[in-house]
Amino acid sequence: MNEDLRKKIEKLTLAQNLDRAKFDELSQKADSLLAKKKEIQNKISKKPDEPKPKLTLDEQIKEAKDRVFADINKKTDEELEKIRKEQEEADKKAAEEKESGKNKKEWREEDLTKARTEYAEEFKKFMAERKKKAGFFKKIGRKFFGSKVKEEELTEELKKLEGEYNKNIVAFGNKMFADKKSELEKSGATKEAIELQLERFKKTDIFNKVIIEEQKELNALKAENLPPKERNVLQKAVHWYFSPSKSQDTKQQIGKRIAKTAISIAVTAPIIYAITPAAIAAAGGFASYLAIRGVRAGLSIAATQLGRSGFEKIFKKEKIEEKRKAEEKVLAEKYSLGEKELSLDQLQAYKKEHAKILETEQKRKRNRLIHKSLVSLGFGGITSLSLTEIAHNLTPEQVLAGEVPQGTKVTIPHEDIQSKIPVEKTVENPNVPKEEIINKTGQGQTEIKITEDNSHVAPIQVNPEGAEGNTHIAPKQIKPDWAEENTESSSPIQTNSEEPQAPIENTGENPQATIPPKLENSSLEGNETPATEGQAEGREIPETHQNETTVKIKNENNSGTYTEEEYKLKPNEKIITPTEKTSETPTYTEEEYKLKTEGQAQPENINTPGQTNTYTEEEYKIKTGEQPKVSTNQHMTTENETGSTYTEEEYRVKNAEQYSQTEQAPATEVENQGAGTYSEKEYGISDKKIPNTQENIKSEEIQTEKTGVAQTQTEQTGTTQAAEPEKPETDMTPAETQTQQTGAPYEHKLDATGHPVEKFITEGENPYELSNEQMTEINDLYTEKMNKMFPEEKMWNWERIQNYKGMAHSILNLEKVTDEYSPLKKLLQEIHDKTGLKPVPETGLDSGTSPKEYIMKGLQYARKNNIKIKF
Amino acid sequence: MNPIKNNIANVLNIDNLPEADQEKILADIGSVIFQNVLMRVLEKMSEKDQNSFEKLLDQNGTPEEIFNFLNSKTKNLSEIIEEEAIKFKDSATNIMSQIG
Repeated sequence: MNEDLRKKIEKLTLAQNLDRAKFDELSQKADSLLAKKKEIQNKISKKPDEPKPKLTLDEQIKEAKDRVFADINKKTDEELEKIRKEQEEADKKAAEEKESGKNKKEWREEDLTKARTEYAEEFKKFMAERKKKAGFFKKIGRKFFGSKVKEEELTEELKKLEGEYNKNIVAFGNKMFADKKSELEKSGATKEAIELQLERFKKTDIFNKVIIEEQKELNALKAENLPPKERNVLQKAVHWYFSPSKSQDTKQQIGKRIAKTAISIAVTAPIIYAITPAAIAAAGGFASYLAIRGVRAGLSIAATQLGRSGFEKIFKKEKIEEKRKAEEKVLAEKYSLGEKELSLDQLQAYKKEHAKILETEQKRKRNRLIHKSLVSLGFGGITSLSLTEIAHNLTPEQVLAGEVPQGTKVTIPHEDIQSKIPVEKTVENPNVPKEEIINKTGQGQTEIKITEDNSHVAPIQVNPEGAEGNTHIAPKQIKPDWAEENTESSSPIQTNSEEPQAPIENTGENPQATIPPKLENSSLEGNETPATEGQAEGREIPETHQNETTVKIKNENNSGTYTEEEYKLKPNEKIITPTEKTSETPTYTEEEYKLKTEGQAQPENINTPGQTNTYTEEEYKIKTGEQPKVSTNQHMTTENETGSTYTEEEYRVKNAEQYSQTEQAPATEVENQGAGTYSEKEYGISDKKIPNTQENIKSEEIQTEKTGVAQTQTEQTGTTQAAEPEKPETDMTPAETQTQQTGAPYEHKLDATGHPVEKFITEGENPYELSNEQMTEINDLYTEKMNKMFPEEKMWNWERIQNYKGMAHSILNLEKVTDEYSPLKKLLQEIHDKTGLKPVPETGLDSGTSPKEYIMKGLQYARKNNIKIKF
Repeated sequence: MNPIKNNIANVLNIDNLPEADQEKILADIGSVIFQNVLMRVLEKMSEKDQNSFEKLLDQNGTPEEIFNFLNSKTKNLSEIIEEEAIKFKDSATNIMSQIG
């Protein structure tokens, strides 16, 4: 049945049940709907007259919807695409502008100054207004609870000015950044290197300028608004913060200054932590609070829990030593030690590398010591400890990594270097010195013979020219206690030897002297470290025992070490035994002295004509006691003005002198003329010790001085002539010496006030253009002296201040310091008085000069200008 | 590294700088915050307390003495310190983030 027909029938059926009116109405609606349906169908169909596949109504509607939505989607996509393109163009433009700096505010100093001033002025106005408007209760509240300015309180004008000020700051920072970037790019550095440097530059220089300095400027302006009284107190408080303590309580003087730095940490700590008043009160103050907090958190848990003993268990000393041994083993394998003989170059390289290993070991030990100390402090006396120190020195990571803070002194104990060097353990005579270094000159090799007791390798200088060069074996450096303060210096940087030195003068004609190749019957007590020393043109093997070596020296009463007094004797004076000061020591004339040597073994090849060296006894004492530049196979006699002559052997035997010798080396002739005086350098002694005074050798064990530090025994009177062909530039003329003895600076440039022109340097710089050797000499001297001044048990005292900016000035201005810092203060004062250099105090604008910087600078300046610095 | 310093270094993004640089930055920051704190604290002090404080400064008191005094005269010293420290940090971070 036709669908339409059926529907009509239904309608008719339905109509029968409806009234006529109703029927007509519905019928019309139905017709209307049908008509609309047809209309829609016609509209949907593009070609209504063409036959089309039949679609249901739903399909047709869906199709219509899709068509409509397709249009919408299309339009939407087009809009989106348009927006996207616009955004991309905007981004591209912004990027281009950023790159070219167009989007950055061009910085001008006057703009920044203006913005800062305007902001500060507005702030002051705001604060004044705020204070004025505050009611009674608000004022009371502020009195008790502070006056924090809330964000909502700020005026629009103030916000605007603050924003403008910040923009200028940012512009300033960006300018610095751009300038630096440009500079780096011009340098040709790699992109990565540039990025790294820029990062660091931003965090240090820019941060300091843009944040720190600006804050200080701003604070200064804001402070102008304070009432006079408050402003005055604020100024005093800031001054207090940056100035050293003037308290007479010497025990705390240094600590106070350091503790102030801890305050800086205290006030920055809240960035991280919320500090409760209760916690502070319980800790007894901010400094201690922060210190405790820092230590408790900073120390490794194991260390703090276990304490010092526990620490030992964790960081066993053996581990460090084992590490060193392992490194030595690797090094030995590298050089095939024990398998073949090393050439001189190889030996030199080996010793350098080994020295590094030893140094590293000491750093590790030192850090371990620091860590141990701080662990102890964590249990007890923490309050006196600067948090800064903790922050720098405490970290277990640093200790384990062997990192050492800048300026760390290193004292390297003796290590059995010789065991790694091909040695021939031959002792031809049991009485012969226990260590012999035989220079096979002319063959370019050095063979070292070491007896079992030997444990040191002293500097070896070998002249590859063979017979023309000298190889010297000097006695081991022996430094008595008194030499700590009155020791020698090869450079004008001189130790505190006030008394005249032996007036020995070198003829300079043939500065060669020899020591017989073998010395029989000479006695040596304990370990002696001979050193060989060559001429300037000879190659030098660096000393590998930058270490502390304990050497037993026979007491004068028993054997014959020399006293300072002997050292100071003039050739024509009566020889006085070292113990003269005590009035118990017998004195000898030279004749007596000579007689005393009778029957002793005589050297070979004595008094070779034309090469005879004459010495006064004092000269000889100096010579033999201070690593003289004498060699073997030549002849030398000791002769005073009265005609008494001594061979070296006589002298050695008589005094049971300790020394070593070389073979086949040219001689240095040193002739005393009874008038001149010598510096050690002049005498060809660069790194040796002055013999002890009897009274000062309290023990049979004394520590040898670290070698490698050229030192000078500068005399006070007489002429000076160099015994060495190559005279160091630091040698001074008598006039210079005299000038220096008066304490007056030598060749200082003076400023308008008559003070020497200061040139501040930082560590590692070489503003005076010293040679590498001179710099090394100074560095070694510095290390040596500071190690003496602050031995291991006092090392911490130095560590805590050596790099403290402004501390040099502080110490110099303290009226009195504690005993442990007294030598340091004297040294700083000496440098100050002699060089005229003034340490920069720490201020808000300058970080100041640290003690280490000041000392290094002073030593360099003194070296350059031939100024003697006494230690 | 000390945790306080470590965290400050992290906050200020200076933790990868050498120790010496960090030390200087820390000290500089400390000096600025110290001044800011003092400016606020002094405002709260009575003239009598200011005189006492001035006397203590003249006598070059120890850091502990100074802080104990300030703490006794300012009930919320720690809060002030904290506020000034955080204010500094926020300001510095904001500015530094726009540079480079």
